[in-house]
Amino acid sequence: MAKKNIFRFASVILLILVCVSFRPVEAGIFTSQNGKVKFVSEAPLELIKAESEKLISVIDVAKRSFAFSIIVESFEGFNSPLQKEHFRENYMETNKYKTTTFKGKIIEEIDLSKEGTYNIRAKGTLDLHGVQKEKIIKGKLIVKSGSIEMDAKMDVPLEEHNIKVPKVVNQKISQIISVEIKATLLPKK
Amino acid sequence: MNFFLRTLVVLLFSFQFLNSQSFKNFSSLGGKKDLGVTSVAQNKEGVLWLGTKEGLIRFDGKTSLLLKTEDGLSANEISSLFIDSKNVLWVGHRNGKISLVKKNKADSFLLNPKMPENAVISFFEDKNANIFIGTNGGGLAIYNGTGLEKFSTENGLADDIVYTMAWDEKKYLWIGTDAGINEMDIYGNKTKIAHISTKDGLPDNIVRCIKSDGKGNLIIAMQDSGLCYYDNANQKFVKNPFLSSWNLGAITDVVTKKDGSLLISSENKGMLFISNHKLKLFDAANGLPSNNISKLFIDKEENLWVGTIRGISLQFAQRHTVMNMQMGLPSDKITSVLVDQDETVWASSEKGLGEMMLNETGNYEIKILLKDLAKEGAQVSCMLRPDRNRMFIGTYGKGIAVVETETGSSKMLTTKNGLANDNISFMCLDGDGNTWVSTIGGGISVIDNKTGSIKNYTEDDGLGSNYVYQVFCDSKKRIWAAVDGGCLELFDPDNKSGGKFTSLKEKLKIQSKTIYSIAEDSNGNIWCVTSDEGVIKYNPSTELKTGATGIKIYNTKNGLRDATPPIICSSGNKILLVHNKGIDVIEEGHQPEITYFDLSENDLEPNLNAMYTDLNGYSWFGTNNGVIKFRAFNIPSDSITPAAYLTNLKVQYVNFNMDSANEFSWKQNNMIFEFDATWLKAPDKIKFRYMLAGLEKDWQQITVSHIATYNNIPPGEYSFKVEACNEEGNWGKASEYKFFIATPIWFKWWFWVLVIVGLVVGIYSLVKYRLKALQKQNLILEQKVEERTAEIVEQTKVIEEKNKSLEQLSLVASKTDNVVLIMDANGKIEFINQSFIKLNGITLEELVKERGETIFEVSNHPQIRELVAEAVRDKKSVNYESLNILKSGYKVWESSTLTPTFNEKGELRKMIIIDTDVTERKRQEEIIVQKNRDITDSIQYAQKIQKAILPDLDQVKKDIPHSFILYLIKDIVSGDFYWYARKGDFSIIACVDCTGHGVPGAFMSMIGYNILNQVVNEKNITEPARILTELNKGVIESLNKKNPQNAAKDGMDAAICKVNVQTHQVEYSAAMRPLWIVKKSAGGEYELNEIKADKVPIGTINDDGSYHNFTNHSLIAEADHSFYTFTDGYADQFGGDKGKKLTTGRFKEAVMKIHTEPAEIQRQKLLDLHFQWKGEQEQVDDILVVGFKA
Repeated sequence: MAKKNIFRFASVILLILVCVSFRPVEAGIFTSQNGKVKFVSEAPLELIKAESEKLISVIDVAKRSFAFSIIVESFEGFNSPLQKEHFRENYMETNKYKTTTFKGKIIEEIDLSKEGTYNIRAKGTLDLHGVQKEKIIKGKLIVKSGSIEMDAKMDVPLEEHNIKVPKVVNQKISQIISVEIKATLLPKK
Repeated sequence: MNFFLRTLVVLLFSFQFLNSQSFKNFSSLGGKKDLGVTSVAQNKEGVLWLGTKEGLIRFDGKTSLLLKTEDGLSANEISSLFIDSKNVLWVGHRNGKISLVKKNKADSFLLNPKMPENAVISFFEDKNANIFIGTNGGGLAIYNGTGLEKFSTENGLADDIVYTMAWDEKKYLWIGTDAGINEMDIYGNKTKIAHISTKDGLPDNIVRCIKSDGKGNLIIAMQDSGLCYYDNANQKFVKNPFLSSWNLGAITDVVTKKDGSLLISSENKGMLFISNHKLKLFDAANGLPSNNISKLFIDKEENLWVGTIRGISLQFAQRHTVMNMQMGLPSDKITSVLVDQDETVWASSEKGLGEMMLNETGNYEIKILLKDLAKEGAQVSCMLRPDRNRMFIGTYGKGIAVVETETGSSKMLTTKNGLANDNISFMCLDGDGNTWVSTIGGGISVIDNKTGSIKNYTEDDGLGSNYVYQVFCDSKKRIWAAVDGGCLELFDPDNKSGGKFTSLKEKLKIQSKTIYSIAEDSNGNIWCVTSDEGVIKYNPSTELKTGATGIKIYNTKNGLRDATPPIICSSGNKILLVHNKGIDVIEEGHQPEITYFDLSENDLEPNLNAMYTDLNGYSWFGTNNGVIKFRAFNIPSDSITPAAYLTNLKVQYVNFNMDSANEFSWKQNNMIFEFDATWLKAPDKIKFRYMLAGLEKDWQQITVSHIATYNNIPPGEYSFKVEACNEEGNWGKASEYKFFIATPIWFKWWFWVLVIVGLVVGIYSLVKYRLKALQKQNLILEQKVEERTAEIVEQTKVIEEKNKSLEQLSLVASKTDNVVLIMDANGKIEFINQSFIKLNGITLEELVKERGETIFEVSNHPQIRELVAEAVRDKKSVNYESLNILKSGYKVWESSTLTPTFNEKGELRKMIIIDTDVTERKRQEEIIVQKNRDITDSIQYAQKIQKAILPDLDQVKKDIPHSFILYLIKDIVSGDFYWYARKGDFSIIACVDCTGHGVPGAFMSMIGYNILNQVVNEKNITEPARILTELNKGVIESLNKKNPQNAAKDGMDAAICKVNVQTHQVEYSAAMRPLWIVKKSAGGEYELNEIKADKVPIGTINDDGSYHNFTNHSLIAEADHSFYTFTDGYADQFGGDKGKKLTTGRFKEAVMKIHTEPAEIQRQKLLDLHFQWKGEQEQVDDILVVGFKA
């Protein structure tokens, strides 16, 4: 499943690159290799935070499409190594589902080639834990000095992606995880 | 002791008051737990289809069946469902594929051109049955029955994600996308697509759901801006009418119910219920299995189905709701209930008074008051709001607590204040706003609403006793009292003494002394619960009109489950009786009159008179298990009934397709009908009734069975009807199957008519035929009679003639000299004539005595039987002779002619024997026979002599080795003879044929023989010619032929041969007889030469008296020469096929064939030829043939 995700992701990249070769750089592909993803689980008995700075992001300005991908094991934080271990092995099952991706399209018809701050909604497919779910997330894009700053938030209900939390710990792990994505994308050279 | 003021514990609980809604969650579907439901559809039969990630579930409220790709689905992950107008289920899959389910069978739906490979997320069907298919990113495709018409951003769509489609009831199909709304003119020009977005006032471009509100407006549900309406009339968007702002996130679905309530589901914040301008939130905290809702669906029963990520939840309108400690009340033992105008519910218990107030979200918040009161042992028994500001709380033992609701201040009203008693049982307001208080032990108090003064009524005022359970004010402002010991009492205010109570026990003939409760229905009937008889209904108005004081009693015998229910109250024209088992509702004029409601499996334990009817018509009851809110009135969804449908038909125990036919033969008369009904709300409570119209006149007994069996249905037209009823006993629409069982031909009237006609015709024809036959027979008989008569006449004639003949014959028979006997067919002698009698000297009787009665015994002929048999067989007369020795000893020869006579049939009738005396002839015959014998003897002797004188053939053979003599005598003696002599080396043979044969011939031969002897042996003449000459002379002289008188033609033909076998000399001379010589010709072939004889027979004298000199021939014989001489007898023999002579020619032929054979062989062959030729013919002449070789 993870391999498939990577493959898909790679094919998207390839497609974008192909498109890029025919377009001028200005109206082209913006990428980032080190975007930040932060998630928070706020439950009555515990607050869990983790983050990763290995988010791979791509935005196609002309098509208004995007793709994000992250290796799940890149998340650090947690309240204990054991918790991290549980996160990886029991909940996210990173041995099966290595990568999480979110790709889709920006709904609003904005011209990202122009500088400005854009509050957008992005509709995409979140492929997490082997389950794909269409989501519309809100975000903000700041186009400035040839780069695109992206800031988006989404709530991920665990049950939507078949991530089962045992009843024993349901006071310690929230059913809905808040996720924040931040990245600064630069034109692809 | 303001115990009730001491503490006001405010306990705030928000609990799920479900507003008369109940949730039933189905988390286990198709054998899988917590299977997320993405889509819901319901088919014509009421069965639900649920789309999940793992397949399609068929759910009938009881059982769920999971269908997957193995069962025909194109894929397992389902994103949308839709039932079209033909009851076909369209299944949209996440991979863009579509499956169709028809009659529970799934099949992939292959389209050409293909659907885009995006999830199918929405459907719509227009009035022409075109199916619109919305996808998640592939635009819109319209299926027109044959192919697809595609729409995307390339040809007009605002966006390729088609979330939703709805018809605006006017002209356009509204399509919700991520980029606003598209309006498509689907019955006009589809390519004309208008676009509505935020620029046009749409609050949010991401339009997740568009639905019609049933009032001509469209509800638009958006991603982030909640709901808005599109006001068609004013052509503008009206934002969120119910909520000031929207904070429930993305809306996934919107549905409207028939009662106008609205339900909105969110992506992860539960479901909002808006009804009568009131909001209510439902989420995982108050009943739903999850906050993550993908679909809402209102089924045909007006139940709500909520598809969540954890299965599906059914929300249905229930008549009752229970509020208890679980919801936050201080106790379950509720002694009284009251509902304010603002819908605040007051529930009293031994642990305090619960004040339940509805909050913004439609939930109740509870305050508990008067806890101390409870502690001090005062039990609240009843409550009353005499006016907006105050509340009366009646207690057992502590009188009434009067509470100022705004300030919260209160005071007690007790006996000290003039109250009749401190044990308050009930309170009610009269028409003037005064409070009537019933007490246990003090009678009734009336508190004036204005002054506050109290007036009491006791036994002295007509009350049967001071123990009053309830005081009641009816719609006509009459005051009734339920009295223990006084029965039902009515207050008469016009009594001069200031009002009096009168018991109606006698008047209404009520047996019971005690009444517990009173109620009044909207028809003006007064109902009360008695201690002994059950529930009584009494109508005072009817009594006034008709004068008849009738009561109607309801108890367990005529339908009530409990004859003394603790609570009785009314709801419109219905009377509610609340007891342990539930509620019995009596409704006059309703079928059935009593309806039963089960509220709980456990006993309800309602408390006496703890009831209240609120302004909305709901009935509230206080029980030991909480507060019960009950809806006795009907809401539109109550009239929805289950529709029964036929699932299967078995004819003759074999499944039969009901759609195929409905006409059956008379033999197909065993039927099993299987039926079902879907009632999702309470599938276990479904009951059925059915009937076979045409056979049965009424419905069969109500049953839970799903099968109806009918056997041996007689021919006719039938209609099988089945109806289903729900848990409230409401019957739904009947399902019907009409069919026809053909009448066997012998049941049809025309068959019998035909049979009868046939019989009649048949009988008639038969009779006629018989008549005709009889007539014909008669004719024939008549004819026969005529013929017979003619025959008889003829026969009579014949008989007469016969008689005549007989007479004549009789005459002949009797008179003739011949003897006549007549016998019957058996030979029995019937008649003898006179001649017989005369001849034999015996009569018939004597004859019979002596000899016998048959001819066989009487006849003298030894073979008489054979003779008779011959005569009968040959049917002709037979002659015979017999010797009759008379009595006298005289012998009489009789010649008898036996003649048989026959009848027409050829049968022997009689035999007639006519005897003729032939004695004389016989005698002559004997003489002749004797003479003949003598002659023959002498001739035979002559033969001996002749034979004796013939030459010895052995000698001839010795002298001439190659020689033969063939000699056949015709008669005993012969006229032909052969003579032989040996003279020196010569042999002389004579072959002589004398004239005649037999005796005369023999005499001639004697003469000839003697002469030859003389000539040759005595005179030694050896020359053949000279021998002949001498023979001739001798014959003439012997016969004295010189005498002309004796010139008889007697003589002989002769041939003489003289043979020397050593020298081979042969001399020949002949009279009339030739000599044949067979020898080789010059050419080497054998030929027959003939030396002719002299044509002068021996015995001929010349005219001049001289004698003929015969010619002598001589020759030298060769070895191959064969000589033949013969008499004419051989050639003259008659015979052959035609009875002709052999002739010389044949004779020559024979000689030519045999001449080379040895002599004996030649002789034998000539003999054979003779006999062969002769056959049966008689030998005509003597035969003599001599053959030799010299």
